[in-house]
Amino acid sequence: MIWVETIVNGMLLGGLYALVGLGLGYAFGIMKIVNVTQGDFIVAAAFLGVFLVPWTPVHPLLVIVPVAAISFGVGILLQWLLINRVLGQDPIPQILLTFGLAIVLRNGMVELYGANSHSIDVGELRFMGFDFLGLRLGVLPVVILGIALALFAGLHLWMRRSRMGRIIRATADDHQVAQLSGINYRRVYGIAMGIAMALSAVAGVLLAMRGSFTPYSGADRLLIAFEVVVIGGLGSFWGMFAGGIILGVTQLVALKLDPSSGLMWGHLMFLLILFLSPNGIAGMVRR
Amino acid sequence: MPLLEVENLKVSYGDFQAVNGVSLTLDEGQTISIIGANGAGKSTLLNAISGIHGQKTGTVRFAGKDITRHRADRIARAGMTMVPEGRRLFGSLSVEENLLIGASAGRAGQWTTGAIYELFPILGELRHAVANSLSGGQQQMVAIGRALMTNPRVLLCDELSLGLAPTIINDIYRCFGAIRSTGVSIVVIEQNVTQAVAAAGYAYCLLEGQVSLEGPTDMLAMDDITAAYFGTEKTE
Amino acid sequence: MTDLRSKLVTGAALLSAVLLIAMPHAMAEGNLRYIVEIFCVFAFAQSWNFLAGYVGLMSFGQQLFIGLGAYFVFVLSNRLGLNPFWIVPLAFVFAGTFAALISPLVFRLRDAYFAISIWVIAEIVRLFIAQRDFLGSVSGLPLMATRGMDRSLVAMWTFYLAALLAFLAVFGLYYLSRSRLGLALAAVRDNEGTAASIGINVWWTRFVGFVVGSGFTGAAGAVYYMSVFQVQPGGAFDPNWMVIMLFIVIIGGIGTVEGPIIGTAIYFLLRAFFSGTGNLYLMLLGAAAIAVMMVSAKGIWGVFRDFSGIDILGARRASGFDTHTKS
Repeated sequence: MIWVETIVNGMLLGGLYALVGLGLGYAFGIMKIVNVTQGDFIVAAAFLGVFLVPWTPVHPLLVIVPVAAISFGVGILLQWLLINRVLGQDPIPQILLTFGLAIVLRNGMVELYGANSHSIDVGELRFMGFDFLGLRLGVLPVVILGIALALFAGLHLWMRRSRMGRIIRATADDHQVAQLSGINYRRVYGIAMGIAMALSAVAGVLLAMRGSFTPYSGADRLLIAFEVVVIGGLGSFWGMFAGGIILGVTQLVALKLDPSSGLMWGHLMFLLILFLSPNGIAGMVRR
Repeated sequence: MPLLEVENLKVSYGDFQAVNGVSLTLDEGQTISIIGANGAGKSTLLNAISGIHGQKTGTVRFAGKDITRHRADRIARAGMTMVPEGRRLFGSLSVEENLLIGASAGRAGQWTTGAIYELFPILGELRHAVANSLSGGQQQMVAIGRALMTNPRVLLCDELSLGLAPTIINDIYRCFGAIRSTGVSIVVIEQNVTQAVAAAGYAYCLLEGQVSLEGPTDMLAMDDITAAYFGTEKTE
Repeated sequence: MTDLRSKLVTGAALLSAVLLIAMPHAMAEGNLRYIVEIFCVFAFAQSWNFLAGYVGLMSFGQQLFIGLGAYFVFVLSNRLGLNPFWIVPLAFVFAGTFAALISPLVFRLRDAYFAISIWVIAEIVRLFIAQRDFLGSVSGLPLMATRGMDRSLVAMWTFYLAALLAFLAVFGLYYLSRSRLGLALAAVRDNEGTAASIGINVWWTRFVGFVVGSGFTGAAGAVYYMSVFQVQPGGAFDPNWMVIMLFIVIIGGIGTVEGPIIGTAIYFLLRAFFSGTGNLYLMLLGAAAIAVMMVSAKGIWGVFRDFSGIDILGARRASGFDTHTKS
């Protein structure tokens, strides 16, 4: 039974990991841009959450709303002011640009907050649990999985059904030709980056509610996001979700077997899947 | 005053001068064609006029305004758009979604999805099909429909016949009458000389980035066109 | 005129070699150690520059090879009691072999995904070493063999190894970029399709570039940690190595031999100037990298070369100091 519980808990964690990857994968799927800042930005959003929680009415969980809104704006500005200026055939300038930004952001946070570990206080919700089919599960992890699922489904529907979603998909297919329909693709890219950053920010806040973080956590977050996206098959929505679940389960099962190196097994699982199927889960299904 | 006026336009790719001083005019309601062999600079010229290609000197005036430095999306919103070479549909979108993207230009007019389905009835049947699954001719219809959905005053058409069977080419060009009747002015680029001469009232021949011959299509002799097309001396 | 530049470069190479050989005899040990560090960091940066600017492979995980080279020499020397100075060439082979083994896997990914996948592997190796007692676990390994040796002799040989690395990083790269392999690499970097169409094996060319560049990083990592007599997983596999390499290459000018020389000089000057400000100085490196990307991705040397027309060690032109036209 303890194994079933570990696997279920791994899936709950994996849903959140999927959300960590969603922002990175979404931006890549649309703009073919890999925003290396995303990992450190996830941490910055968590700090923003810590800062805003005391002012959040009703319930601390709701802090994800203002954090997402602010991050949306930051994403737009990042794209319009910086990344749009280095767009081109060569992907190296934009990757290096965001890498430089990540360094500034990370060390700025170390400067401001020191290297101590922080977390977002959600009151007693953190310790509440319930029994389900003989399993003991935490309420918070289940709620977080629910939020992750809702965001995946919501984004998917919005992209399919809304006018803006249609414009974004068209821009992703061929941004040059989109211009001939009066679409300013640089503006669309800004909105897409805003959405990507908002999603990452929510993931960052939720991670900080489940566990703890330091200003140095950005690298780990980026690696998780990256692994989720690659396992999922570079931009495939539900592939990414499966990728998150696989990573979460691997990590928790490995931690049970080998308490000192759960993280390493997650990385190894990533390499294994890359070895088996270069196009990730989506590639396996398509075959 | 002409609707579109291009003056001494020069376009380069790096060191390569693809268009070297082309001037042309298009009046309201007129259809002109630009003929030339592969590599004569036709597509480059059209890309420059539509704003897709930014590296250019000279002037492009549209409806009396200098738009040489404007971006393509702004030009499209002002009323000039292009059917790009090779159709280039949004492959993952459905036929109807592709058409609706054209409406993003935000210009009011008589071109709606309904009007497009009237022009190309087959598209109405295929409205929910994914663009990538269509045949070449159907894709070309969607590409024209998408451009019309911006309700343009000027429609630039780049090699509509490329890769299509002759009967389908005729079908495509047959719609020109209907399009013209709504007041749209058209610039057609073609390698296919007969088609280009039949579709337009005035033609320009392009050779190595320069206009080698121009005139009303009914005044141009086929021999002259061939000479201007290939850059050979006219056979006596 | 055609041979003038190659003669000048050969002359410069000979002169540098003589100066480098004479240096340890004319300098205090403390200064020598500082120069060893500069040379090693320069070699790290230049090998990353080789990968990103000449091979077209951008990796964010080259600390992997720094650590591998260092651990290889330390473990082999400590276990077998060997003189570490003779093992350094083997560190090149070891790191290169490791690169060869992972390339079938990581070459499946492109651009940033390739870059980060190597970082993932660096993390795996770091976590693996940190868990193994026979590799010194978290606290690392000391270098035993040099303890019994004459201190000034150790300093001199370490310097010679570092000097050899720096020498190869300049003149080796210069000659490599003009060789057949160098031209093939440039073709693959600029346009895979065209390169393949003229009969270049794209995968193989990249593979050779990756193995050589990573092996060189490994050798430089070995020398760097030999000079401090101690290696730890957290330091050897520290992603901050990447920050430093990136900064030096980007600021100086990616894809040029001269750029990283300038970048290394700027890096050490900044470090000396801002020492003690901790993270502020790292932020400055990041901000400078952003600024360079916004102004011109070519870096200081790239911009200077375009304006002045002076191109000393570039691979593009085959003859003398011919100025090229400004675009």
